[in-house]
Amino acid sequence: MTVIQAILCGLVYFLAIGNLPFVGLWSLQRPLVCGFITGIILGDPLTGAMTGASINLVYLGFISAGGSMPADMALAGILGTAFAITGGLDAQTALSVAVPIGLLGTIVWYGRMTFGSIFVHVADRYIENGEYNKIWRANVLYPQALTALITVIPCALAAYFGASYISGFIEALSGTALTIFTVIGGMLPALGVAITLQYIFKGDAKVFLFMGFIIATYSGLDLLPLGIIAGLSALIYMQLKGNNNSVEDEIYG
Amino acid sequence: MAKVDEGNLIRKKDLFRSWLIWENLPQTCYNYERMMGQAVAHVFVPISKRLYNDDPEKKKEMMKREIEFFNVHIEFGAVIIGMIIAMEEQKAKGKPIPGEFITSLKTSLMGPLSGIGDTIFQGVLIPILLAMCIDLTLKGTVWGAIIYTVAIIAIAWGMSYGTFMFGYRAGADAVMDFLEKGILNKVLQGAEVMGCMVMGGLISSYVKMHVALEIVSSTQTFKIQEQFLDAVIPNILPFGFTLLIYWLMKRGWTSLKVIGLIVVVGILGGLFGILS
Amino acid sequence: MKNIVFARVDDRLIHGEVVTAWVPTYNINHIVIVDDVVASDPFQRRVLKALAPSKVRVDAFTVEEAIQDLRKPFNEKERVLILTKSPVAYLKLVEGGIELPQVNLGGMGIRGERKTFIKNVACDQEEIEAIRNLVDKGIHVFYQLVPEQRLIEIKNLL
Repeated sequence: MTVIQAILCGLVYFLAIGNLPFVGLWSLQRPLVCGFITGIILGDPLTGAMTGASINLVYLGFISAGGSMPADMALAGILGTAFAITGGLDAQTALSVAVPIGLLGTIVWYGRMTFGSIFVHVADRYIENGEYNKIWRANVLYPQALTALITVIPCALAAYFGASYISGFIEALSGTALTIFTVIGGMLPALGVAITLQYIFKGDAKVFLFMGFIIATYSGLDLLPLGIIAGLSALIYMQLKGNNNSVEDEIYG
Repeated sequence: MAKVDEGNLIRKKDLFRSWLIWENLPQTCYNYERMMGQAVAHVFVPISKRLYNDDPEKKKEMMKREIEFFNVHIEFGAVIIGMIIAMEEQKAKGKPIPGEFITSLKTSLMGPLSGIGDTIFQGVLIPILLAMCIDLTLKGTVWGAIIYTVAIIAIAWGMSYGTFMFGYRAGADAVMDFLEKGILNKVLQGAEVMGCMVMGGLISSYVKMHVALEIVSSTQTFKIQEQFLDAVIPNILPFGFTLLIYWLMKRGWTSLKVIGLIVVVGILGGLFGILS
Repeated sequence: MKNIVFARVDDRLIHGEVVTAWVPTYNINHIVIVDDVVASDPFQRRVLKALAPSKVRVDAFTVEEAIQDLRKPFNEKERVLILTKSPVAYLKLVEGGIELPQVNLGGMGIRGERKTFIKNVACDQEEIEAIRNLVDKGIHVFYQLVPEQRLIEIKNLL
């Protein structure tokens, strides 16, 4: 990995969680997307996208609400993919490496949530002095400059130095150890699905989990056609359901 | 319902500029103290020029109100921003709307809208879209990543702009009437059904657990995975494991604990040749 | 007394974190908001009912009304989450005879006399006194944004 590539990776991390623009959180932050972009930077877009996709499975049901950031999936996606490409890791091993990274990175988010308050007072002062045209500096320019510093630099360093150590580390792993990594990587997506189920596995929807599983297992259908069937099933369900009984009946009935 | 350009102070392009700022720069200075407050103030800069250009006192009063604490789901919450722009405009034209009322509108709506917004958007919409695009990508094409990006941005911008303008044109009562119809909850229920089905398919394809154990006797080798587990239902082990994790998390296990469990199972399974 | 499963202080009452994290974790099906201002504002009550999460009943009571309602008999099928904007309300509930399983500080914005206490929780003198009182009565008071995150004991910070 060259220095330029490492810096570009850092830049991707900045755009992914810096919120500039906001939709970066819905798109670039997802390992599927930032993995793809990292792949482009390192000259292997397909491996990037596919590794990112695998890593993304763990973070499927990821919700960031009220300023919380349970894990840093952008860092997991970027570094996991970078190491997979430079170190020649397979998808499942890359997953096992990426997840711990995802747990560490949240420090950056909490840092910017804390020091962002400084710029709010700057904005207060602008309003006090009637300098409304300067507000954009307090909302965008200054906080983003600082965010760029704490995202680009650490990520670039991690990418550059991590890449050289990872291949050595993986080579040192022999058969059983590598198997263990692969096994762990194969099971991790279950976490992503389980988290998503926390929000949607309720009431009448439950049976559809089993239905989707059986259909996929026995028909080998891809998720896109399965998704269409799922959408149609949902429509049929809503049509047949009519009006819901109130929650009062469930508690007090 | 007010038509946009008829006797109004705010022009279409001010509205559009404000929306652009809201959808693109709401979290550039996200912080614990005010959350998105400073972004709302930023959103109101073009509005303030239009409403109070010759009245610095009222301008300052409005801007101080807008920089107050605010936190909401961006695309769903755009309706609130649209509504308060309309209210500030009415107030500037002379209607006796107390500032506290505008503030209380913000504070009473931002919470519940986020509640349903985060559930629908992050809890259902994104996982379903991601699942389908991840599956596509893993079949060997970069198009999954591209389609996801384009789709989610289009949906986000579309929803955001739509609710923003709805809030501006319709006003508080019409918005409440809409919310009370319970359409959002119905959409959520349908989406839950769809989501569960897609998740079922996802488990089948992407949670991988394979038992390498074999029972060897003098005459034959009994392969537990192929001859027993797969004979019952293929992929039954990953399915059961996923449901186990779901059940554990319902009982309070955090992601960290689950990852720990997976690591332990992986180490033991790999070490003793049980899993591969 | 009703089946109170979780008690939380949060400025924004029902919102993202509460609906997506706390409600599913504790299988809540009844949210009781205890706030004199919210309970007497018809618009806010309208918003709360319209945007109640699915399968969850939402009520907004004044402190007095809450004490009356929460005193009603225990029903195992009903799992109650209490939300208030300030720990002072909880002190009043406890003094009115309501037993609380714990008090979770989630988010309290800087307003008026409040000074930052921990992360996104700011308190004024009256609120710090209320917290101290609750701790002295043996109630477990802690800061935690969402269940996934680290729990911080408040009694060590007083």
